Amino acid sequence: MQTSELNELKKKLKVAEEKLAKAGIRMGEAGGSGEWHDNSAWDNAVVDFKVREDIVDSLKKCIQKLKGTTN
Amino acid sequence: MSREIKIEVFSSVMSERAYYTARQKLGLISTDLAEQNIELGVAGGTNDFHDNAAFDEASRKIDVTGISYETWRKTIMYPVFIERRVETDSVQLGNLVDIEIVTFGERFKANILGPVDGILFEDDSISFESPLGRALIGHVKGEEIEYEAASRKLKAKIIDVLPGNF
Repeated sequence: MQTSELNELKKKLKVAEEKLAKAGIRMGEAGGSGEWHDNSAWDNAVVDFKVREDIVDSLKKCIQKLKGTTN
Repeated sequence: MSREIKIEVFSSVMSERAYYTARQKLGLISTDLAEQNIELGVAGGTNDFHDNAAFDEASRKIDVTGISYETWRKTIMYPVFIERRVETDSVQLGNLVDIEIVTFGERFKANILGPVDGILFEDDSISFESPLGRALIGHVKGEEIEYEAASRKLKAKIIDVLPGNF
């Protein structure tokens, strides 16, 4: 039961990390021109990256809580 | 409307590397805060604060970043450094421990350090204030321990106690 819960979280984390990596690439592409002013593609990519970063952090925290390795 | 903002301060017991990393983090947060203050100024520049969504958003961002800034600032204000422990008679602060969480069949090595280390170096550190960290302290190689995390009982085995590696 506990093991399956941990495995489920690990799977979710792997997917979230892959999505974060892709969001990072999109951010790089959108800002590639060096012209960041009024670049809505860049703004959206940054927001998307930050949200995905938060998701990865939350999942890591859930795994740590489950294992008791964090406060 | 007055708001009460609770600032959580992590224990100031930490390794030197955690202290310097936290200081860097504080510097980055400080830069963010400065940029957000400029955003706030620009958004509020019209002098019309009513229904100014940009101003509200900028203000909200400053609140959130401000809490983060205060948390880190207070955490590293009076640091107490953890020394690397070379004795391996029992698990103490500053040791590296080879552990198996029997319940999950998961084995890993982690330094027993402070809560800031646990946050900044989650891959190789466990806070002594965490459920597993608390349960490990004082025990010796080969011992099995029971502890509670997320309202569940877990079992772990101390495979080895090693000198700290941080």
